[in-house]
Amino acid sequence: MKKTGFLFDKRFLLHKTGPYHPETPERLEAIYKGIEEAGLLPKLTLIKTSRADLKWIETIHDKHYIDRFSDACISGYETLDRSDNQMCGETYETALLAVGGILNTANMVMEGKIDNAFCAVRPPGHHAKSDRAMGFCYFNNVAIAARYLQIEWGVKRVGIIDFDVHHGNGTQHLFEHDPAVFYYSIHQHPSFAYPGTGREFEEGNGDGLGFTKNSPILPGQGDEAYELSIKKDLLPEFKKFDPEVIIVSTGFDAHVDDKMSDVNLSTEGFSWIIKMIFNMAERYANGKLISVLEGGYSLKHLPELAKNHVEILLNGGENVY
Amino acid sequence: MFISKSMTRDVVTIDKKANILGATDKMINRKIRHLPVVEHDNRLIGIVSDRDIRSAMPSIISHDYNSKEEREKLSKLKVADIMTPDPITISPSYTLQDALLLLQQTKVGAYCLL
Repeated sequence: MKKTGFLFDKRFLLHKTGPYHPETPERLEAIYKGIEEAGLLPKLTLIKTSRADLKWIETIHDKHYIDRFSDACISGYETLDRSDNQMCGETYETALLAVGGILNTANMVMEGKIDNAFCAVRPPGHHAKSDRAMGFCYFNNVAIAARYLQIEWGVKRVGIIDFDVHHGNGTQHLFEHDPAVFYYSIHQHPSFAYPGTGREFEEGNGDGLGFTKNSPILPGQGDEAYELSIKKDLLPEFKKFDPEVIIVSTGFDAHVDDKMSDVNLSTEGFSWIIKMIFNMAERYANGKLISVLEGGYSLKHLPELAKNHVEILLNGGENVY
Repeated sequence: MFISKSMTRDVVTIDKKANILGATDKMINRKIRHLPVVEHDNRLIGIVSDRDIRSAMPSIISHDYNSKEEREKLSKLKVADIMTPDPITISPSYTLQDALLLLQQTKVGAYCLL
């Protein structure tokens, strides 16, 4: 059994988005409930969060944007940049706590105190750009973690796998010139889903050309297309890249019953994906894997999906590589 | 919408050994501007455009344009000499948006669908 960390803090529930928004505190409560009721909490190393030092946020985000975000919260604004980014007075502090917890997780993984971890945080991050909030995301949690591993821990090759059903445009654009970070995303085809990026031919730029890979999945294609694409697109790339640490943007919104998507991934399909990522982490990164929550909106299915996710981080499951 | 809905299915191709005057005739007769270049077994190896042919022709203001020697020289020039080898190919499952964005990015005028 692995030493698996679990990051959760009740303060992540303080980011409120209003009555009609899908990215709600209830999502996180459902995830926690699924893990707790399955009796997994005693097997996990609980990770404490702390407010992130702004110097780490500034490695990814424009200082003026950070100030603008902070000011908007203090001033009682209900949205930032676009109307889908609903927020409240606590959103900025919650976002700082989410990043802080993920950086604590990164430290524990690098110090060998845990092998891998699931970070159940809000708000999500993978759409956030350097200078703009997008798609319910304010700080790009995963991007900040990758930069932190590079600077603080001297990691030379960070692999990011994003299986949220929406393309992580923010993360891709932040690293598309960086050959030290490989970004792979599998998502609903951008002609049929937000944010309209993540096409097959987006492969990075400049020095980073060849270090971005996208697998767009057409509506209705389901588990088979996911397995085929991951085997065809991701496995050979990670074999070449040989990541030292794998960070995962974990979205549960590709699920067949999630109203945010049409790709029809089953509960078993999600388990296959995380088993494959677990296998890759074992093979290349000495097991070092940090999974960070992005989307996933089916309150009915989130408990089971989260439970399965954590069980696989703990036990691995069969080798699907 | 998928590109398979709007692609040309009855594709006119040209053999790599054909000369460029033959390619010009084919383009004029079929009112097209691009010809996929194929091997004898119909395997795609390149693409030739009207622009490639114009670039290979002497300028019409050149004194020896249309001279016997010039035409003889051109008749020896094969499609394989001026084609773009290994053309970008796309899948029929690409959406029209995919294809348009790729056209904008790669600055080419036509894609072969495989």
